Amino acid sequence: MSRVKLELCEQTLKECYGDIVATIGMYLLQNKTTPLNMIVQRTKMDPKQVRQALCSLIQQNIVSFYRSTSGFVEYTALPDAVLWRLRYPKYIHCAKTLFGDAAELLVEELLLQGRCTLGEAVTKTVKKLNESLAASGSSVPEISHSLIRDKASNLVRARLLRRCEDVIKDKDGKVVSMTEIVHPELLFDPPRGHDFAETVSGSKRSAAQNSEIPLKRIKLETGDAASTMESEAERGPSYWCVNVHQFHHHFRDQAIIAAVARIIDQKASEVMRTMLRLSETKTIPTDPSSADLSFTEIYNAIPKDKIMTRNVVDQYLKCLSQNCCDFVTKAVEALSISEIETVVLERFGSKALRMYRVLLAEKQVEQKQVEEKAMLPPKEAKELLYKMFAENFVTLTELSKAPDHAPARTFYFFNVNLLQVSRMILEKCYKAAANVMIRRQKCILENKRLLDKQERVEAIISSLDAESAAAQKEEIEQMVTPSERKQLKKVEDASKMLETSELLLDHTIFILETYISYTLKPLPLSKK
Amino acid sequence: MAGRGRGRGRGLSINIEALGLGRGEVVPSIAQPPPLFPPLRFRPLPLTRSSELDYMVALRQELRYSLHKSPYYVNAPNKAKDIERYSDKYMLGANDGAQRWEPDWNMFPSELQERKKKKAKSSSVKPNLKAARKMKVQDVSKLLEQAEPEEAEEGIKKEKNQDEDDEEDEEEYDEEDLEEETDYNLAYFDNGEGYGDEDEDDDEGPTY
Repeated sequence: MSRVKLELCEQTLKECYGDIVATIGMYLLQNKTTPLNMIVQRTKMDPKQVRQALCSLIQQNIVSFYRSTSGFVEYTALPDAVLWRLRYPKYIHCAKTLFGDAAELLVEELLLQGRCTLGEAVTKTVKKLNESLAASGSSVPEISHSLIRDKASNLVRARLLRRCEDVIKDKDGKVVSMTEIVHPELLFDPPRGHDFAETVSGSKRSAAQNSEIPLKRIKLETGDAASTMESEAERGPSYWCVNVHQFHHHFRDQAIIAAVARIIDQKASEVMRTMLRLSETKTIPTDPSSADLSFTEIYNAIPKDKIMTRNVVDQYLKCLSQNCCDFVTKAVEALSISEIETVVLERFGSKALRMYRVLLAEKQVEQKQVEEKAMLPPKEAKELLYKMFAENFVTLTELSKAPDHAPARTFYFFNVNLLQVSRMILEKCYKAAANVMIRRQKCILENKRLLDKQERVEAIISSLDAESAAAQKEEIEQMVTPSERKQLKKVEDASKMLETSELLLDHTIFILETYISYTLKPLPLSKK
Repeated sequence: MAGRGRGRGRGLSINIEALGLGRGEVVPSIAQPPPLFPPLRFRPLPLTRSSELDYMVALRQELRYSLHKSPYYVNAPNKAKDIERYSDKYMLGANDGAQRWEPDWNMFPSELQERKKKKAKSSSVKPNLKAARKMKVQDVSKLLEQAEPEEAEEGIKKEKNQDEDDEEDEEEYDEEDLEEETDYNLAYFDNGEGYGDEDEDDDEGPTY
């Protein structure tokens, strides 16, 4: 893993879970698998804090632990899991658009907790929803548990939530290792009654009530399934977490659809959406291309309110297939290329972009040809081309006619190595994201006193609101002077802008990462 | 190989003219690292603003706030303070969430739980002590019962002694004091009589 990525991980951990967790997390990220004693020794930190931090990291699904051959429990951190934290708002927003407010709160709760029982998440969501209802003063009846439970089941069915990996215990009943995922399907086993039990050690009565349902089912079923269910019921509710991979798939599809809509038109994107939806269930997520679909299948699946004749659909499909035949990979590649092109445009200007496009289209081009095809005067073209070459956006292949590699008898072909360029830009994105975070933290630190003051004033005002003392309220409001107000506004705007850029950067990171992972090798464990 | 070696001597191995430089021009040498903040040639486009992005930014801020308050945010315990301040008592409780959170130990490696195990050990030892004590208590009570009449007799004797020989007692105490406490003083008490003796020893002559 590169240094810049590590730096971004460190900043993220620090921001989310504090300095201690960040130190331990960084140690694990840098050193692969390590037993507890080693961590304590090397980091020279208080063992109690180390344990606490490790618990936090495991709870947040950043660290996994396995038993090594020598008998120690060894801990491993997953760097990508750290960086997913940048995407949390996106997941929550996605859940909101797909399944509504209740799902949003459910996903938010699960993301915050890292892992928790469904029962706990449902209870908290119901509480929050009812509180907000009470606050808005609407006359909508209280939201019941069963409604939210159905929502949670829906989310599991859509694979947005999954069970956490189970643990293996040794003969003394000590937890020593996480189980390897053998059957991904098991993770999406729909929740049963006992999964919704209030809390782990909650009131006995509710637990007893909930356990009635599975018990009845067990009687009906026979064989292994029944016995596994029984053991599950005995163990109590299992833990659940958010399945980020499914979210990533959704983001990917969304990006492809948006791109198609931009390049061709709205109707084409509609066709694309239908195809992606159909292939979603048929394709293994790691496959480079989606499953084959027949024309009638697509035609029948297109929503009826979008009036499209057979002919039109046929034409659109032709249009789509000319642009991208190797469906997923090509589409993702196209996205990645467009990101790279934007970077070139921003860095070197439109003329350079013209040359870059020539290079992308022609694969191997000599300098003269680039000048001609991009219709640029030789001097300008040279300057821009060499600049791009110096910054590694363009690569050079030497092809010598004679064995002595004399420059006069050698062809110099300029070309673009997409994988390499996207890696380089990815690194730059990591760097930029880390920088933005540092900048924002500095901005907040510099104005800490002011922000604290504002917080306190707001707290007082809200408490006065409850007592409805208007005169006092005004007085308190005036405690923040106009100049301070101006400064506060400035800080707020700055941090908002920085945060927006973080989100946008993450979008680029996501596309480039997807592209790299698709071209290199199938996503590991993406079927989770 | 030989041709290549000779070619190297002439400077650059590439045709300078093809790069657009004249025959006599010298390639400028770079002696400094590039500037830390190079000037921007193109100003970046303004950030796109949309309601979705704004919503996500708000979500982000909210999330960060709740993460800071969550028990998974491990804070260092209060450092040893240089001086006690009046404001200290308001600082407490700001972030002691980590202490409240108790992981479900069915899901976590037990070695992370070591603190509790120690307590269990000490408690497992205690019952033995108690049993032993109970045994001894009986013994002791018996012993006490046996010893009671003797003590009473001794007490009576002592009282008699105190009544009769107060002076003797004082003398005994003095002796004890001399034996235990004042031997240090005795050993190092110098009344000055021996002063000057050493000088005479020195006069006997140099030692070889």
